[in-house]
Amino acid sequence: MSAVVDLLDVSVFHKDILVLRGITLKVEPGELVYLTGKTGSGKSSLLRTLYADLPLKAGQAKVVGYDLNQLRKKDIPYLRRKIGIVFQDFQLLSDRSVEDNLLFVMKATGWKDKVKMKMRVEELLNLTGLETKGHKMPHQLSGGEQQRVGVARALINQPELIIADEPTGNLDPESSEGILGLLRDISRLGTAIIVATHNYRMISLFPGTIYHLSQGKVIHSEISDSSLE
Amino acid sequence: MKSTSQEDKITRRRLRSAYLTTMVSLALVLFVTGLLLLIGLHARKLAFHVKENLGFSLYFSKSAREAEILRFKKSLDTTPWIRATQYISPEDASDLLKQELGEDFTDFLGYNPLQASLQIKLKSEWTHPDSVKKLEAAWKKNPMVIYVDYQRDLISQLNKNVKTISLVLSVLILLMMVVSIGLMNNTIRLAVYSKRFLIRSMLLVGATRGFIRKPFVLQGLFQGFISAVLSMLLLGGLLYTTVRQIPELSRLADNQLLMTTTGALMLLGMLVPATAYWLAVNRYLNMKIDHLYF
Repeated sequence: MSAVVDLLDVSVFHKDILVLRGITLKVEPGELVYLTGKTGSGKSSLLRTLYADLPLKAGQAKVVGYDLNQLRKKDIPYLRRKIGIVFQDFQLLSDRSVEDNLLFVMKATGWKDKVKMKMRVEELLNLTGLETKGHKMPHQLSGGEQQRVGVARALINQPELIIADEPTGNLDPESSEGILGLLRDISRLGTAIIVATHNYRMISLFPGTIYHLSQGKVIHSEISDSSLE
Repeated sequence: MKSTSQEDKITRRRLRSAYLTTMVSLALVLFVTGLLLLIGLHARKLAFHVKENLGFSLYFSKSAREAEILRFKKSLDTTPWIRATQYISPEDASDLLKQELGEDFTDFLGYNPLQASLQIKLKSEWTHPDSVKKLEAAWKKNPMVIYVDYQRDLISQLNKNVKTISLVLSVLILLMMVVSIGLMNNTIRLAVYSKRFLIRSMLLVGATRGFIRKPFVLQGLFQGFISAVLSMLLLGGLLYTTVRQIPELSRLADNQLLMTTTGALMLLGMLVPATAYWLAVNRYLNMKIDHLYF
């Protein structure tokens, strides 16, 4: 099976400033990967390059089957449909219910069959432990529950890769554990997960491959201790 | 979280009020534009009518035979600039003058001094002074034609006036357009600005640019439609009241011109906000995340 993310000597730029250089890494299907590093170390910039929010200017990158060097503007929506993105601040639509949040994204990504849409919503709510919350408005949910909706939304199109940028940054430790546990369970179903975080306690709870970013490059990668699992 | 929801409500209320103000303002601008358009179209119609009824008289020498003049008339009738020709024999001319004077002038003159003539009416597009000069020269080349008579001053004055009226109305309509675009642009940019993060989220979940733009553009078309209908009601009311006060104006009524104005207002009304939405959304579709916070 080919790698979901395959980077070779990639440099990441933010505007015209070189943020990271010489990044070479591979993420396999079902792998749980952590990007760690201080604020400003380039974690978010690297993630944004993966979903084509920042242009790839140097190196070779293949993400979910798309060659980022050859990527055309019109291909970007389709690349992103194969990637699920989880935001730190959830970015839910505050004026509609949980179900409608999911249905809205389905419509935006080309779903047409209403019965299939309804079934998929139920499936996602079950998977993320939100079976009874479908009719609730985002403000009626706790932070952890809102992030679960964010994860459910990221899963809509059965992505090969989920990118989570500081998904527990706005959550208490208990909710954070719940979210990372959920992401770990999803990875076990075959979806690759990349999480940018500096929550090392969570990494020790849910081990995975760690890439540490510092001084503009990946200074080491390791498999975190699974004995704590 | 509750405060975010309250903020959303306040933003929505402000936007609703801004939408309403903009729709009414656009309706008023469209109303004035419609009025100017109606005046302009009627002025053009009137000018067209006058131009098509301008009389050109070609007088023929006494020696010219009627058959030759009629042959000349026939050849003129085949040219693209002629709308109508009428042959008036010396006898017909004499009868007409007798009717006008109320007495028989040939009695004391002892003969009929009037020549045969052709009364010509041109198509309006050929009544420009330059065209008329060329036609006059061409007609005069015929040795039978001794004199061409028409109201030279009226033609140049008419053309000048139509040009001035068209120019003034066009400038005013353009000004109205600038005002309406300015009005809409402000509110629409505010409305789209309030949804900039939604646009960003939609882009990140894989929505196409067309899908993101569609509801905004539809909203623009709807707002424009309502404004156009409002402006038409105002215009209809004004026309009805005016015709009731001055019944003679009903003679100028022209359903086709009214339909043209209605169509133009509808098109303009819908196009302006839809374009403004299109441009405003495009701005956020192309914007980098760092700029969304400013």
